[in-house]
Amino acid sequence: MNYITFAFVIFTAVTVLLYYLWPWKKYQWCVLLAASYVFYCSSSVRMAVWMVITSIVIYLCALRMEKLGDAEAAALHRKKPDGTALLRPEKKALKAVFKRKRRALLTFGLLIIFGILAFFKYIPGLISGISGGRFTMNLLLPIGISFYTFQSAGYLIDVYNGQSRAEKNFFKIALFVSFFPQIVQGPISFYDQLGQQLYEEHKPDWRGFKYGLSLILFGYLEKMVLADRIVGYIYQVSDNYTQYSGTLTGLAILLYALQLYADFAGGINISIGIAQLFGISLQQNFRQPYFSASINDYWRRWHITLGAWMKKYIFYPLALTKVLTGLQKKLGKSDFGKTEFGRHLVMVLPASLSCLVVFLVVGIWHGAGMKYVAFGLWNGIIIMISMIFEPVFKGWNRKLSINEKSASFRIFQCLRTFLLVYIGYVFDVGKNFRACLGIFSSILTRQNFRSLPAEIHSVWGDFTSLTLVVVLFMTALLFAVDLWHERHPGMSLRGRIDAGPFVKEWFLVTACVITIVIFGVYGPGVNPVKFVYMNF
Amino acid sequence: MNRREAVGRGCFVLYLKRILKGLLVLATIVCVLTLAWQYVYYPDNYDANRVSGFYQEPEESLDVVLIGASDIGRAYCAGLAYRDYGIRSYPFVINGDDVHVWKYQLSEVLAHQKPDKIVIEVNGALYSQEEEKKFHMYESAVSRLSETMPWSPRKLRMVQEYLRSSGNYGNALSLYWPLYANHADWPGGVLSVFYRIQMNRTKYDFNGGVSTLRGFETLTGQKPIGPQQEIPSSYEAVLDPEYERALREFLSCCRKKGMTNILFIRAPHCLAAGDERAKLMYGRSNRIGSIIEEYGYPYINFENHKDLPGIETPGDFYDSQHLKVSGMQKFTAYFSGYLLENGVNPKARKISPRREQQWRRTVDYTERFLRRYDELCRDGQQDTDLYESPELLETLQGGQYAGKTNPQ
Repeated sequence: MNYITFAFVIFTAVTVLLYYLWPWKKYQWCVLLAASYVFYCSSSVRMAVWMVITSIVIYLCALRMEKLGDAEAAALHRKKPDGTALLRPEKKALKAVFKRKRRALLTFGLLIIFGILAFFKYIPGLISGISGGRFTMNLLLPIGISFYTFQSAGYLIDVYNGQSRAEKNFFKIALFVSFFPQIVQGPISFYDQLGQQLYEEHKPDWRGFKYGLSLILFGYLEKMVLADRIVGYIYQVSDNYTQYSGTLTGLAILLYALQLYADFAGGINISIGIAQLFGISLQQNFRQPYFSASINDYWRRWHITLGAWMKKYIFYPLALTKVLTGLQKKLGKSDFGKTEFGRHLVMVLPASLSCLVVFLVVGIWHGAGMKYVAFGLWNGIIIMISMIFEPVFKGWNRKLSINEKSASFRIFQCLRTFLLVYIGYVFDVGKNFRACLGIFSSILTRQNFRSLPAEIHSVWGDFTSLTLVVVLFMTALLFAVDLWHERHPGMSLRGRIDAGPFVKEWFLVTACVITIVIFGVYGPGVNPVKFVYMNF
Repeated sequence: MNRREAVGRGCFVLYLKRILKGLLVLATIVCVLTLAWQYVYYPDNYDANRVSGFYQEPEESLDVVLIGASDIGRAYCAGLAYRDYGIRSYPFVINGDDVHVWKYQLSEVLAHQKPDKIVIEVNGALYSQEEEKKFHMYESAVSRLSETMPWSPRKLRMVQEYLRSSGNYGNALSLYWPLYANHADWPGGVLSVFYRIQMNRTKYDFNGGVSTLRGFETLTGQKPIGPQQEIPSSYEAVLDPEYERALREFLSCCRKKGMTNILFIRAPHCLAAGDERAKLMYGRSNRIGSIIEEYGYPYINFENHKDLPGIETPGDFYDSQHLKVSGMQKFTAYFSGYLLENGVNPKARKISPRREQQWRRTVDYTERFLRRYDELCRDGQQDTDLYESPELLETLQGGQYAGKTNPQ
């Protein structure tokens, strides 16, 4: 069931109605569980089996880990047969035994759920790659498998670390894994943030409805009017870049930057808006990413929940490993480590190396292929370099008397970051690594601005003045909304509009609906364009 | 009022405000989209123009209304019928018309007009379910009508009946709400939108609020038509069961309504040798007569009586299914005479001088249209579709197409 169908709209409306009319308020969450499985099974019942398996695995492993934790606590307090308390070395040994058991369970659970993910995502590519294309394995990727796998893994790790209690009700875990507004493409939630919200009773809230509906409307505007309108133009050029000039290819990548943001952010807005209808708050996944001052900042604003997940479960544990802390200590003791730059390097080394690994994982998470690895490495290396050479860059700014707080420097930072992100997008758009290199080469060496209008006219025949107006208008709108949020951090534009005169609100809602109806990409003969991140 | 009552009243007022605000938003959206449909998206094709032109005709001003497919739409010309016989007619015709929608078309005719004669060309009852699966005539007829028919319970029933019988609920939204299907049909760039709005706004201004050519449409040139097959006039073929059922349902409906002014006809066609479909349609057109006559309605099969209007085969045909202008002129002349002798009495219908003026303009522009047709044919233009459009009317205003109009 695609978001861009009337069936989904009716499904959501019916679910909301049932949710609030459900007479047994204590089991209101069961409506969400049923709806989530109906939603998932409408795409494929077979694929739902994998989600059930994931739920069962994490449920059982978490319960067992908690039981071991309770057993450990009981054992530590138990007295020896002679009535004396356990000595410190004995307690340490006991803790180590239980910790090994819990770790084994965690490893087992993670292996299963990531194994399922790897099986669907990477094995077919591996088989094809190893056999040189002679053998292929056509496997349909279960919808949202990356998202619910990561979310489930997060829950398991939180229980292991004692940050969350294991949920004793299997069906509640099943709901946490399958919650339909977020299963397609996130946001990825932590159990302590989402879990309780899912299971507690919610009463209908007018403001929540209004906010949710307005966010859903904005999401559809982004997706249907902008993202789906330009997606065809992008791949028409990028899939056959050798036939076009580097200028047109470059323009297609620029459109991709727009399309990806509108598609992903639009989908997330719809997800968050729908959750809000149920009184559930999901995490924001975007925070004006194209206003980022650096690549580091960009990844704190783009796909925020993935970054948060990576930070919590990969970055910090990696940075605190003995290997990296040992390296840090070794470097600190060396002569180089005693220099000013050396001291800085000692401080940032674990973090920068961890970042590199994290982004390698992010790249691999996007897909199995060299181009994704290259994407991850590109981002990781840039971040690493920016962290390591931060004092050098600051020194340059001082020497050049650049006011880092000025508006012009801020604009420079945004443009610089966008350029780096733009380069990364080439890895997204190219069919494979070789094509990515070809696209780079084309953009750099086959520029032809003079013939660009004619080329656009001949290649993108239906890119009329109307399409241009719509694209420019939507870009300006997204920019304006993001700019407002950038200048009013912590505030909500929806809240501002709600607090204002009704006429303004009425005009905006009407204009949004009419724009979607008239300029949206939908209708008979139009296949609803899947969300980009649905394939992850 | 105590505190509880005050709070209750406050809640009531709050909810009322919210409901009113919601309704206001909805009303605005509906208004804007209705205007957009009316002035920007209005389908620009001869079917849409013909159907919308029907609704522009003043109430109870038509002597004859024709229902059917393009066979009759190109065979009978309202302008010439008025010029030579004083008959005011209009073709409530859509290409690929289907028997399943006849009752709705009839209801529309009866709701707006009180004609002396309703002529129904039987092409829409001669199809088969296999053809429907391939060519979707029923779906197309419902779609074309729903695009242009004003909203009414009849329109809703028409769509509902189609959806029920076809099970094609995936198309429901497009049929109930044509904007859903057509919203991407922008006229072009931004500026052409304003042109389109202007055109739609002034569509009928040229002839004082009614269509100028009264739905007439034709194509230039002639397609190759092979040698004809000789089929005895006694040859009959059974109708498709579903189409026969729909026909009988329609005929029963006419009887129930007490309709006595309906005439069924089969327009003349070519029967090209080797064309099995043409043979089947011909056989069915013979069989259908006996079904129609069972219900007490008259039927003329011009397939067997081409000689009456003097139609030559294949010279008077554009293709095997449609007459060209020469054939149309003969058929219009003969059929108008027939209608006058069989219950159509234009003199009994009083119309105002303004309406007369509009019909005179129709005659004038029909003649100009025919001169334009001749000119294009002389220039070797093949398959140029000529129907009422702002561009064509502008062309016809040219002095070279003017002539002496000869009103009756």
